[in-house]
Amino acid sequence: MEPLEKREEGYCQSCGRYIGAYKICPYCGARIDERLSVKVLKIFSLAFTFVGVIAVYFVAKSAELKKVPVSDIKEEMNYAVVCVEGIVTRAPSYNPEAQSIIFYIEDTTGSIRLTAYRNDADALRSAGKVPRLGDKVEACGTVRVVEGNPSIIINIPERLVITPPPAPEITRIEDITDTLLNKPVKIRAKILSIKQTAGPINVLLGSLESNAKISMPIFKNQFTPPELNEGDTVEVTGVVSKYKEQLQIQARDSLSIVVVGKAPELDFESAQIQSIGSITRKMVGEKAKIKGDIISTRKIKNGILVNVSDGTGKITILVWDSVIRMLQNKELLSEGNIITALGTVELYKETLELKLENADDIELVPGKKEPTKRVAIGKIDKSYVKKSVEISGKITRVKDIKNGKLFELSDETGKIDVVIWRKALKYVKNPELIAVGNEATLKGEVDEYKGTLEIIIKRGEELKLSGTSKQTTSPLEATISTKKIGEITSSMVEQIVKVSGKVQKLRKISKGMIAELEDETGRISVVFWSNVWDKVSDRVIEGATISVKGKVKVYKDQLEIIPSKATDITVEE
Amino acid sequence: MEPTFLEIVLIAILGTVISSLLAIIPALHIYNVIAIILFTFGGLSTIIPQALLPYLFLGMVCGYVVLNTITSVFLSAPDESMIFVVLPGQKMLLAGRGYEAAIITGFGSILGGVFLFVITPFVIKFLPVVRRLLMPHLYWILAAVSLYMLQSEWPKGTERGKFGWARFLEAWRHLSAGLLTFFASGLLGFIVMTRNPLPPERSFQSLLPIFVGLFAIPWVLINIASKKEIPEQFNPKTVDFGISSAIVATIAGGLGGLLAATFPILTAGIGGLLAGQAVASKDERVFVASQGVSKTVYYAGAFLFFFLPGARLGKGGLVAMLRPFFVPTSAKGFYYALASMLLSLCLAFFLLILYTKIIIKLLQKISYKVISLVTLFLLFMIVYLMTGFYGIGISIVATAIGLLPVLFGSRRVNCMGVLLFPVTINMAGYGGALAKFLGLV
Repeated sequence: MEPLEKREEGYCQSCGRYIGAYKICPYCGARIDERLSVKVLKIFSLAFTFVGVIAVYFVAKSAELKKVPVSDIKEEMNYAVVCVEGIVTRAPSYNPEAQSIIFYIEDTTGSIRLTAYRNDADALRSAGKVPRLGDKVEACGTVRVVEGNPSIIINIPERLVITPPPAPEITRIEDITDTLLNKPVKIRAKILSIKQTAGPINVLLGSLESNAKISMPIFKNQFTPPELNEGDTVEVTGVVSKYKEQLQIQARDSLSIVVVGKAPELDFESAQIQSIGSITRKMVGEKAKIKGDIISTRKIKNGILVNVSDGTGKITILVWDSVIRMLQNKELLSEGNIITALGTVELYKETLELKLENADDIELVPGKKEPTKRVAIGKIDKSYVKKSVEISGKITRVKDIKNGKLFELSDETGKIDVVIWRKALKYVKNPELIAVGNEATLKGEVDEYKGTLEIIIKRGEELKLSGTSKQTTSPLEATISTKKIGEITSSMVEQIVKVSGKVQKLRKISKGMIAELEDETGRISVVFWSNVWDKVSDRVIEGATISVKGKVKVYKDQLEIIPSKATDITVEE
Repeated sequence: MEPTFLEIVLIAILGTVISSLLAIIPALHIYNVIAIILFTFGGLSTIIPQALLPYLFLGMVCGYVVLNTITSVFLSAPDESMIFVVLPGQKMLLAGRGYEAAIITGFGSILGGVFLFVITPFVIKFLPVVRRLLMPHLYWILAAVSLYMLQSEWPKGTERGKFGWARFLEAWRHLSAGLLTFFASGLLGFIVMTRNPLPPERSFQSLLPIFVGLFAIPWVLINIASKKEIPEQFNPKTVDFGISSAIVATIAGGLGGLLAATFPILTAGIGGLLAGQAVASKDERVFVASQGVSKTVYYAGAFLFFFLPGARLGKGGLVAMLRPFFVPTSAKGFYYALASMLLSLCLAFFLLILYTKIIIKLLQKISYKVISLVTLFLLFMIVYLMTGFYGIGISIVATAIGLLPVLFGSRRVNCMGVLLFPVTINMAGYGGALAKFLGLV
């Protein structure tokens, strides 16, 4: 056995057991002498722990936090503590879920996101240190680069210094150009329109001197604006920014939007009627009351466009369905009647129109139009063109035409073609009775097409049908022929089409499923909302050949077809 | 172009083989090597397609996590995750059972891989929820872990002084060493995180000099100072490790590793400490195997979950390094990573058996001191390359702190105060106040 005195460090010199760093043997209690090297290490570790930490502290304390241009912040600087300086270009938003305040600043080299989380965000809020748009900010924080995108975490609120910009002079909207980008400005303008979008509230501001306009988006998670109405004159202090190549102004906060002139409160009774010809672009955003004859009407999605003339000019009145529902005599909202309306002047696609928002702001009276004559079909000649007639007879031929239906009506004196367009066809009661052998009584306008006289039914309600022979499909459906996918064009938006093809791919969306349908001519997305998808999901699978009838829509510049019910989908075996 | 499964497996195996060679260099952490690859050689982009690089690193991590057992057991140079293996591992080494200790730890890594495979479906589903629920409470959880760590130092000393004060001081020796280590490392971490004296362009590795100083250099210095010789090692044909031991080790180590892989800041060492004490076992082999499980679940698991697209579940130093560069995009990539990880762990285990036998033979011939001196030089070179002279200075201070527990007999896990202290303070919202108090604002 090796002599005990020759044993190495770590072993008890008395009993020979391994005892590691102990100075007294835990087994036999013998005291162990330390070697010089261990003693030196002990002194080094104790001394350097104190001296070293203090030294690092003083070095760190005296080291200046480096101010860097935004573009210099790269992946290698992840976790670095740096300072940046710039102008706040996106107003701070508070995310209650993440309990974070996020804002963006921009210097001459680029833009970067700054975030403060939880306690630090609370500290900023309670200290009133949440910067406003246009403020100059100097912030020091920890760089975080995630997936190539650098940002700065403000973890010490004291390291955020905010300098508000000097109060800007009033700038004309006409003078706002790219040179003012990201710079604070103050404008005085009239609110032309206020539109609520899925994102911000879009307020369109118009110059008080010309037709110049600029939009002002207001994000709800940034601040709540004061009460704004179309026609109000406002003074806005904000920063010029750009969105989709369009300059816009972003208000700094709610206090930066001051209503300096309220739009005059006009009610229907007290407002003076003005001639349509006197309504100009300068009046956009203002209220106007007009009176005139209804020249024509056109149904649009969720409303009706009413063209009105008073002899001095023409204007289109936009009446939403919600307003129409409240009208007492809504049947008079048709050609030939007289309308008096109070609404807001708007500019849509460079055309002035009057937007009505209240049923109390409309008065409709019957027009003095020529009564519709009841005539025998054989008596209708070219002198009746553009005149309204009422005829009765038996349907002797039916033909589906593009966007509608054509049928021949005969009585004992003669026969004539009758055309009813799809938009009117929708309002026909029992449209399935448009079939050979059935009786029809109708009112319509005589027209001439390729030298042949025909009658155009403008309102579906003016076609009365009787008889028994029914079609198996609705007239609307009858007009729908199966199309090749490549034939679907943007001109067919809002039309109902029928296509067949193979399901190439299914993609889940939050409220249903999207199928990529393909035939030999092209590919189109078919959107199945959940109510439809739940009923066809077992049959519509990738690789299946299906026929779909649905409405053509546009979403993000792409055409798509949306079937409204499960029976619109046929899966071929 | 998306890499194929075969390409991924081959690159992961290449990573395993490379790291198996690097892992036997004492105290050289694989993350340091990966950092050099990422930032010094342009991410190997001219040799390996960028999309394959994460899988190469996955293979390297798997190789490292299994094969660093050799340096931990035979050369006493563990990283933070292995600090608990050292004592029982060294006991076994001194009893001539070093081979057995290494193989059982390596087997623990295989069990860790199996554990990860089994829990993956649950992790995908529940981990994001758990994280979301616990994030607002993290500061007090970390504070509780720190407190538990410090409290569990009591009572540790077996030595007694001759009279009153001497006894008092002796009783407090381990404890005060632990407290000093925790708070000194914590203060150092807070200073570096709050006002890093390193140039910003080297900040991506701001904690490297501290970690090298706290965990790597002290052991190398101790090895140089010590005159320890390794006794003759047995080379048994079989290792006695039953199914029940494997199950207990998997549960204990798996829980510890999962804890570390789930919570920010917690590491395998801390996870292992908590889980080891939760599933108390007197069996040395179970303990050693459980530490193998724990470090595998921590290292490989935390990186594996990085491959889950959109989940942002990965954590740890490697994920922090990779996040600025790579975005996982497909679930397929995750399953390929899972398969590659299992294959890499298996390969690494067989390499462990081979290398352990070679190392045992080599250690009889090569001077322990020479290896340690070369390692010390390598470590300082890495620190200098990545962080410059400032980094060297910081690593010397960290070394002094890292030597405290080794020389004064407290737990080395107290060095994790370097992260626990500043992060807890910052998360609790007192970071600004402390920084202001210290004049660091």
